[in-house]
Amino acid sequence: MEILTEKFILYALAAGVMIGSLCAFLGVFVMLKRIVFLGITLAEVSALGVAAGLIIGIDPMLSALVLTVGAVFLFWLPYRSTSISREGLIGFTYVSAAALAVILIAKNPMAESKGLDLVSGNLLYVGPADLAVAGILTLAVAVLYALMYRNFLFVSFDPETARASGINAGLYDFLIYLSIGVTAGVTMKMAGVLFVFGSLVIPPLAGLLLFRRMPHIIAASVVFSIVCSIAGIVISVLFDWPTAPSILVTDCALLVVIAALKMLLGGRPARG
Amino acid sequence: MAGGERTGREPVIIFDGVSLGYGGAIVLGDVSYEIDRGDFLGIIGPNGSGKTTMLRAILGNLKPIDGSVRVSPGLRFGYVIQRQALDPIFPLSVGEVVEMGRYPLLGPRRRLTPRDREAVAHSLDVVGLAEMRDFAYRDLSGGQKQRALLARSLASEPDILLLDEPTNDLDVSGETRIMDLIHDIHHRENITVVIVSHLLHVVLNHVDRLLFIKDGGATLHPMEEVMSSGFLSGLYGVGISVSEVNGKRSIVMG
Repeated sequence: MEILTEKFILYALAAGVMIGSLCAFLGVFVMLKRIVFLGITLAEVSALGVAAGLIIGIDPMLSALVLTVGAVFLFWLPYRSTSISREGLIGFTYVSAAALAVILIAKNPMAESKGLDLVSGNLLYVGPADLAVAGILTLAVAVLYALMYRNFLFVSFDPETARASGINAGLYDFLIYLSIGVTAGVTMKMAGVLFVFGSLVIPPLAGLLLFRRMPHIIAASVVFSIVCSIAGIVISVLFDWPTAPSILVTDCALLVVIAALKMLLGGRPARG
Repeated sequence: MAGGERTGREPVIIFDGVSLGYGGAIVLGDVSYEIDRGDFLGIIGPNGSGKTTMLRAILGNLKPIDGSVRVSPGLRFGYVIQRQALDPIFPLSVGEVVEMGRYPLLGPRRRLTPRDREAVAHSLDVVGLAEMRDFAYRDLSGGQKQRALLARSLASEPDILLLDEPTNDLDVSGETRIMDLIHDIHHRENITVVIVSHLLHVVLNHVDRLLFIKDGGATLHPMEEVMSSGFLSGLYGVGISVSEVNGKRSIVMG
């Protein structure tokens, strides 16, 4: 158990809690806006950005950010084609980004030496500089949503009426997409596709199962993510399992327990 | 296409030779009419004729391909969207939905003031949902949802209410209660009302004028002109008789 007090484990715990909480919070909007597929595609584009940055020789976080923000802009633009659905375009982007990322990593001898695993992530390699970046990102997203939460909710629930009320629904929608994209871009090298995408989906599902009001759903989603991130990292260290999959298996197991208990007790989500 | 000569008119929205459409394809062409302050205007037409397109143009959400839509400066819209367009997945209480009507008016701190809360409470009271403020919006009946959306638009203290098919999928009783409520609000709160419906009988006893949308065009008529068998039969291409029972207008097809 002494290993749990090692510096690199504490860094991993801090990163897991911070990135997991951030994704869990943003994930509530991902679930409500029904853009789950877009979420994993942005995560995959970020992974491609990291892989491309390493090959080209630029900061992988920067290349991930550039590609992800580009993808956010592409998917935010009004979609007019009647022959191919928007989902089809997102699917194409997902597949091409995933395939290219795998090839770029496979052909980069530096990737292994840097402990780079874009699928499982490498939380155990996180250092103080990474933590600082994750902290700044978390703070920036927190401030953005503290200031604009009401309008984000309005344009997500009813963009047409929001627009009719004089609210720039397109801009607010773009900011929601951008916050998800930037989060994926910045955290990808630290956490990997699986952890980022899993944290966008599983904790919000728990929140939605447990509660019926936004503030409580958001709080439950974040707490769920914190608990599972800590438990998952401890499990990964104790059993020598890969970190991100350990956290997500914990996420999934706890979600199944909650769902089963709800079915057994026959309850709807709490009124709160 | 003036809807009859009226005295003391104060046009708040003016359509002048307007063509509307999407991606260059025109849905409605060369439309000219005016909405006056205090109007109760019905926009009627078959499904897919362009009624919602017209509404979007009034709101400024759709720019004209040709012509101009002039809106009085500072005119505040209260839009009531078709409730079926809203996703029931959103975990919002009735009160939270109605509060959205105040969001565009919030200050930089984005907090609801006592004045905002008062407007929300008043709106809920007007539509008879004061007791249901904490209920989940998605659990409401169709009629109650319609009332909540109406309350949301009233909370913004609008000059003009625009309602898109507010009685869709309601039974006769729900339909009557919603229309009576809109009628009351129009008179009691002195708000201009524009209501879109594909059913003539829904608006017949409430509106002052009707804008008929058909075959890519729109024509405005006062109710006195509309309420004749000859006019309606010619418009719809089927025999329609018009009558009045207990002071209420009614139409019979065939």
